Amino acid sequence: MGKIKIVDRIQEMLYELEVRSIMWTDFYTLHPHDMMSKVRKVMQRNRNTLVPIVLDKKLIGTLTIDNYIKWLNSKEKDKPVTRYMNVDSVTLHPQEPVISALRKMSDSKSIRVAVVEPESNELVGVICRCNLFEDILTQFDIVYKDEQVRHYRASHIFEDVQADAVNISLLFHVADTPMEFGGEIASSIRTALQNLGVNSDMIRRAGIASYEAEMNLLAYAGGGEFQVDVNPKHIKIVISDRGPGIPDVKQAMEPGYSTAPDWVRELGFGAGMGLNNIDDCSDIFKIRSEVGVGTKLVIVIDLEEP
Amino acid sequence: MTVKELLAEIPMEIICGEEYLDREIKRGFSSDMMSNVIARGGEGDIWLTFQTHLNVVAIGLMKKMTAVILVQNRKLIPRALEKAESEGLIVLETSLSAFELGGRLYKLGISGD
Amino acid sequence: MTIEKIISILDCKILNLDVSTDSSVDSVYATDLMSDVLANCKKGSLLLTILSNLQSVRAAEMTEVQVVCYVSGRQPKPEALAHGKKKQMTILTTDYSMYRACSLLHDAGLKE
Repeated sequence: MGKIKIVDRIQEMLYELEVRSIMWTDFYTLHPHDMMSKVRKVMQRNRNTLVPIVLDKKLIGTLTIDNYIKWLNSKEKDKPVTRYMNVDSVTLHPQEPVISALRKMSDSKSIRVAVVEPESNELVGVICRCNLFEDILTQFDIVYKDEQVRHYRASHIFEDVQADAVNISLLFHVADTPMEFGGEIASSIRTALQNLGVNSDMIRRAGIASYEAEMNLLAYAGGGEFQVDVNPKHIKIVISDRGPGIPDVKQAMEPGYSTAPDWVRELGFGAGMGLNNIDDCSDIFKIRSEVGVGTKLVIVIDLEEP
Repeated sequence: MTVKELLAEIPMEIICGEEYLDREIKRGFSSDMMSNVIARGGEGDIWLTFQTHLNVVAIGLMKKMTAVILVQNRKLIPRALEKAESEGLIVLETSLSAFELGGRLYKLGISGD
Repeated sequence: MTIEKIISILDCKILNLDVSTDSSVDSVYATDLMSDVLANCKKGSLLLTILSNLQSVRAAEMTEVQVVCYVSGRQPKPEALAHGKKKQMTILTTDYSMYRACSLLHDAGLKE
């Protein structure tokens, strides 16, 4: 049962998949005035034995290894490529489904084929039957990943839910682990935001801010709590601890100011940049701290232009 | 090459130790981990770092380094600066990153391990 | 610059390779301070560091760095290597010092 479903899906994708999504677009071509002695170098550079001959972006013919051998055997002096090129080889269009390309290639017994725009005959790519399956599989992998992301996309979730406002709320407890092994919560937050389909720049900012805050919790407060709220407008992260508190918040915000002991510095932290890094990543950053009671950080990252 | 000759090639801000600029640079060294600097730093080194605390100056002096360069416009904390001034350590500051400055110093012939 | 070229310039040992050696990095960042990575390291850079604990890889993860090279022959701690593998990073080591590694890559034309 499962197998049939997979085959169906692959067949469907083969019909959906267009030539342009798997063709090679980065290759060297020759001009009609070029000589046959240049052909070998182009073949080597392209790692492909199909050499398109192009004038004003338009395909006027192709050379294959057969044409090249023919010239070598003739022992003729150097001749222009136009003398040996094929002018009536099969070509493909970029919008053509891959399945029809496969059929055309096997009917014409061509292994390598040029891809041209239908009206203008402008050359846009080449396709090689020997790499076709690898290219198709790579494309499947991309399509599959895209689909997965789409499946989890926050907007999608938000659209499907009938409510006046939707807010996804995540709660994380930061246990009192050695600082050396910290960072797990920030990593989980990143993954959660990725699955929700949040824009990658915003994920980077949220990740960096959470990571710095998590390391602070481990270095000074023996753990704490992260509350992350995601809605279509913003990501809001509230971090609270019952640690010793910060006596002078203004001083702590000065770049380079640090009370970190040496062992924290040897772990690569304590350079007096943590709070500044958090501030730089946030659209709104608030910090409230009371000695002997604890510290609370509020980080807001806008997802919409205000 | 002396520190003075180096400054003619790559201008940097002199934070302290202006009177010792004739000191010779033997080798380049780049690290932010104090344990590594204690283990591998050497006499006559020009040391590139992002760190700014008191230990930077203490280790620079202990290892008899020629100069310390703070990269990316980092500033020594006041206590570290006082110690560098009073004990005669050359401290320079640049806006360049450790990677960029290391590359340029090497091109000027200052080798490293 | 391709990963293959970086490996040959720094004479690297490869501890994990999750991408093709043909793929490339456009910039380098060299530091042992993780806050420095977080503040200044560009996405997709090569990170050179001597810090071998889990945090070296965490900071790379946060800044979307895919290639980490440990200098002075440092070996990443087992938990760092394991997390790097999980996040599909390429993990390299070189015997060159930070200073020398920077200068060799700079010499070869790689930018910050």
